[in-house]
Amino acid sequence: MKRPRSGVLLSAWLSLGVGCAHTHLDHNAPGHIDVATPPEDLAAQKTELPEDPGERLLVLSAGAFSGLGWGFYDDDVRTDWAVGPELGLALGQNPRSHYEDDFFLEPRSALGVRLGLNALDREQSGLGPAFGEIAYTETLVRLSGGWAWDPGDARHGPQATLAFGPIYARATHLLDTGTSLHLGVTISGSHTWVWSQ
Amino acid sequence: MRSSTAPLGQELTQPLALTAVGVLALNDHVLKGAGLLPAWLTGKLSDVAGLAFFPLLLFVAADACLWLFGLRSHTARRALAIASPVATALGFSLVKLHPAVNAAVGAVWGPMLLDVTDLVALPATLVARALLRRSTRRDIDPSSPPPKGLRAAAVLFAAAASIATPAPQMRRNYPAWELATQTSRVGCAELTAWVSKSGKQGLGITLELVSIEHGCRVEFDAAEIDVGGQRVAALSLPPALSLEAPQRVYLPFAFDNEAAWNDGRREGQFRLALRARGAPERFRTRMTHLRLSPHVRVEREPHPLSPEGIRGGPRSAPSASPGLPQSPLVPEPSPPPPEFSQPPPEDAP
Repeated sequence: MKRPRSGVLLSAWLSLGVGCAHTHLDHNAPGHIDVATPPEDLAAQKTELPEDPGERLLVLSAGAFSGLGWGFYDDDVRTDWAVGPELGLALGQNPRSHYEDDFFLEPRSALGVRLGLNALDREQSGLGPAFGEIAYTETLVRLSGGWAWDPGDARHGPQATLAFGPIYARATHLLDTGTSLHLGVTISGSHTWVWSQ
Repeated sequence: MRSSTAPLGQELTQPLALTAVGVLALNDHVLKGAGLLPAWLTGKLSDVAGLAFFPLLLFVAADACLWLFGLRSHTARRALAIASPVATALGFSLVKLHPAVNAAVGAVWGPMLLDVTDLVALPATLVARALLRRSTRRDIDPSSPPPKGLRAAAVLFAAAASIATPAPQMRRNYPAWELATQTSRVGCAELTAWVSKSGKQGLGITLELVSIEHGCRVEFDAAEIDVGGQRVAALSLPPALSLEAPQRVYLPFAFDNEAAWNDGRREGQFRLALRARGAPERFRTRMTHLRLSPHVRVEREPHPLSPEGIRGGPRSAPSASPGLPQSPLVPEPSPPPPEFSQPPPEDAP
């Protein structure tokens, strides 16, 4: 029992270390104004409230996915699963600037890349396919598409993923081999660099 | 004491628990503030879903601690199955009834409304109690436990959903330039100047000119600002003015004010050259780029059934938190800005 307990403690410690932190590249930036146009009320002896400029975010995420589903190979349908690491880098924006007491800082919309590797899968004959995807995120929904490539036997093919928060559905078609459909969960920590637009 | 072999975290993988977590996450991150449902309903939905699943999360966390220290047993789990819902109900009641507890918990967990009507959600803890009772009465057959991955994901998802309270409504206070001297005599007129626009694209100054001698006429020769050594001329100068009545004109200055703010160039000077009845006059004053107060939290709308909601009457505009000075950027009426001594802490981008 010592190993799993140590594993739990180590995982908890690592999760705390990674967390979902963010770094401000600027602080309390001025808002947006149209400087050439006079204020609406020229007689009001006050400064007109500028518009919220929103913010840009660069998000680096690292985590692990685990999915369960079906594999369609040579007219044979069987249960299939895969577990592995996944890295993401995305540039996004929020129309509203955040405040310090926001806990999670995620872009409203973002475009980025995701790299992953099926480190363990049903076949368990070495590493499974690695993949790279271009991902577009809008609110909590992420749609990504790319290519999977197996370093062991050079099988390759297209892959698409639809995710809602940490839950994802992924279809991978390896040419001349077959297709897998997985439903799963990605657990990841992230670091975000944020600056005013 | 018989040790338990029930899989850790299985309580959170039950469909009802997963549904409650899903509802909480959806409500807090999508529905709240979206205008699809009334605020009082989304508030109650959070309370009901939270009270249904939080005892399960508490149970799983305590159960994991027992496991880590080798104390996990059927007896201990059965005791936890009672203690978790009770502790949740007590804690929730205290947060909703006791101002000091509400403030202390709110400081860590995000703001929570002190609203006695929220206690109608308390029966939701009975759902958690029923699930825990069933789970601890007989440990689920170890030959068909929920997959480890699902249990781990359920625990992480539940933990995230329980701490991810929605962002409070805030009113942002932006930095703005201010003039040290606002009123001065310039020949036959009295001039009052103030910064009427201040943002990333530059700043705008409004001038008000009032004649103090009959037949006063003013012509503008030059207007510029100096921001940390960078001289910026006004984009345009107003035409000559005859001051039969008070006149107001606007002077726009376009420059990269964001860079100036980020570089720490927050001191400057405003210079104006004009002629009053043909005689040259000058107006010169220091400028400072300041953010006078932190961002201000806007109070939530009271529940329609809460004492404040029932009292009714005209709803006042969102008010600043007590003790916080008003920003000069907020709409009038506003009290005079406080004496500024130190810039406030830089607490957000």
